[in-house]
Amino acid sequence: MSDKTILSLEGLCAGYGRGDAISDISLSLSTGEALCVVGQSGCGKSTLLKSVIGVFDKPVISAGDIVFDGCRLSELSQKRRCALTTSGMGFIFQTPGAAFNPIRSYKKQFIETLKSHDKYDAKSFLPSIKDVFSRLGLQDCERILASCPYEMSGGMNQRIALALVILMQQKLLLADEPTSALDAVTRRTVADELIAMRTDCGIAQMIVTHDFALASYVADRIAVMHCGRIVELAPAKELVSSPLHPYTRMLLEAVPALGGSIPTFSDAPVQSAGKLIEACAGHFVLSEV
Amino acid sequence: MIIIGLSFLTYLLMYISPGDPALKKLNAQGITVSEETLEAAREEMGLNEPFLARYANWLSNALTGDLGASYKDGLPVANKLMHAMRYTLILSAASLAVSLIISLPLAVITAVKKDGVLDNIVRLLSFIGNSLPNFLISVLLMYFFCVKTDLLPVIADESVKGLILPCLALTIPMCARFLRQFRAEVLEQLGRDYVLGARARGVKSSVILFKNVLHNAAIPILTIVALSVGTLLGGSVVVETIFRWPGIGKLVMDSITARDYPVIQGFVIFTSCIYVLINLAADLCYRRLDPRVGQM
Repeated sequence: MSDKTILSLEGLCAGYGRGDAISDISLSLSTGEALCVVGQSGCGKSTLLKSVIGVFDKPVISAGDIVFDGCRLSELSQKRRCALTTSGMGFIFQTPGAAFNPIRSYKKQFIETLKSHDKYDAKSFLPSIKDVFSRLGLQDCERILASCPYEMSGGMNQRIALALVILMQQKLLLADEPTSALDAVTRRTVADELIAMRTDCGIAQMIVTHDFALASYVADRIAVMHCGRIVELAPAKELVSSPLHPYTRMLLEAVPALGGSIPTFSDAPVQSAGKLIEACAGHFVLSEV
Repeated sequence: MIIIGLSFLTYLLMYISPGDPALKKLNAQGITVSEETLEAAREEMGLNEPFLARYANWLSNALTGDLGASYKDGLPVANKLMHAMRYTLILSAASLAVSLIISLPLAVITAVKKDGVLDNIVRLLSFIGNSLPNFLISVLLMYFFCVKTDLLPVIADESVKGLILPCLALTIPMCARFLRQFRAEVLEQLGRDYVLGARARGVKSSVILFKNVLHNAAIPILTIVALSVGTLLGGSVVVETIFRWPGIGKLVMDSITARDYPVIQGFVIFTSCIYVLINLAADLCYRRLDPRVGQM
């Protein structure tokens, strides 16, 4: 897999009109790399994803820039920016069934998505979908395509949404808590599919999750967010085994273990100001300079 | 069952309301009423029978299409209703078509361009249209188009020109109501997750709007239209009376004034049948539009 940088965030600040919900976010993502963003609810994880794709009315980027596939997005018109991001980035919602029209067949929705990007070919449509579905463990392709999202389980909808990302040959997957609604077995299946997507298809991934277990399983690197800032960014194994920032330690200590009691989470204030500095090779931590 | 229940209630109301139907019938026919004549008329009309027997008799006749004869002119009620229905159908179809042609595209445009100049203007006009009572709109239309400009006839005849004013009088408030309701439905759909999902997938705005949003909004819109069709076919009493439009609303108003009970009773059955049929048609359409409905 080539090590080409597919996405760079440069001091990104964005919000919903009353100050910034995320600020000074800088990171980069290479082809085939998976980055998990973890943190408490409300820390700005989803805002970060929405800012990157940029097709929603809000959040609004107030400072900084995004470079996607060599294009500086601030230099593009909103129309061209949307065309570039939606053709190159796949967005998986927390409840992927809800992100599709619940009463319209998957076939129609796949076709209208592909047609919107001039990627629809009537002859190759069914064979290529069958191929992608079988890779994702989805049997009975024609029945699934004829079904509506409301008829599918959460896990099925999740995999169908992933199938569209592969089918669209997108370069980056943005996933907002992709396993939050799944049982343990389906969660494992989806996690394996995420790994396969990046190893087999080279699709870079930015995955927002609360789930440290998932993050350490699928990600190359983990970024920990707190109060709209990245407080620590490191290779997944290193961050889990030797966290440097007090907030990361608190988060890891709060992860429940099987057979144990549910740990309490200290709400003592932790530092979320300063600058991200490289403490050791590839391990960045927020530090008061 | 609904229709039979309604017919029973109406029959009961007629039964307990003051006044002797035999006396009213004889008076309406200009006959001098003596005690013997009155008694003979009562016997002939079956008024000396017990209530339930009279209702059962009326119901069995009604099931064969015989709704009795009018007290006023002795004509069969069914014929009178069918004749008036023809006019009501013309007026209803015209006003519904105009209302939908105006309100549907405007509601979609204003929902998509929410808070824009057009949206604000349309919302203001819709508010005014909703606030004005039907009789006031009719009188204002008459004042401007008949008294001031003499463009249209005061009393509606069967010509297209005669149809314009009663049609407008029904269209203005219906259009205002449709606009508010349709706009709200489209706005609600535009805020749904599937629209955000489609936008994130880069689906063209026109495809999102016409193939997804409007299709999903069609279900509540259909409910609103179905209710309005039921009301329209029941006859607009005020508009038909003001413009002397010989529809079902005017017929029932005249019948109430003359206490022509068979006509009123027939009207209730007729309109309740219309409501039931329209609701049935709407239910069948729901199943076609939303596959979830059939599975509930």
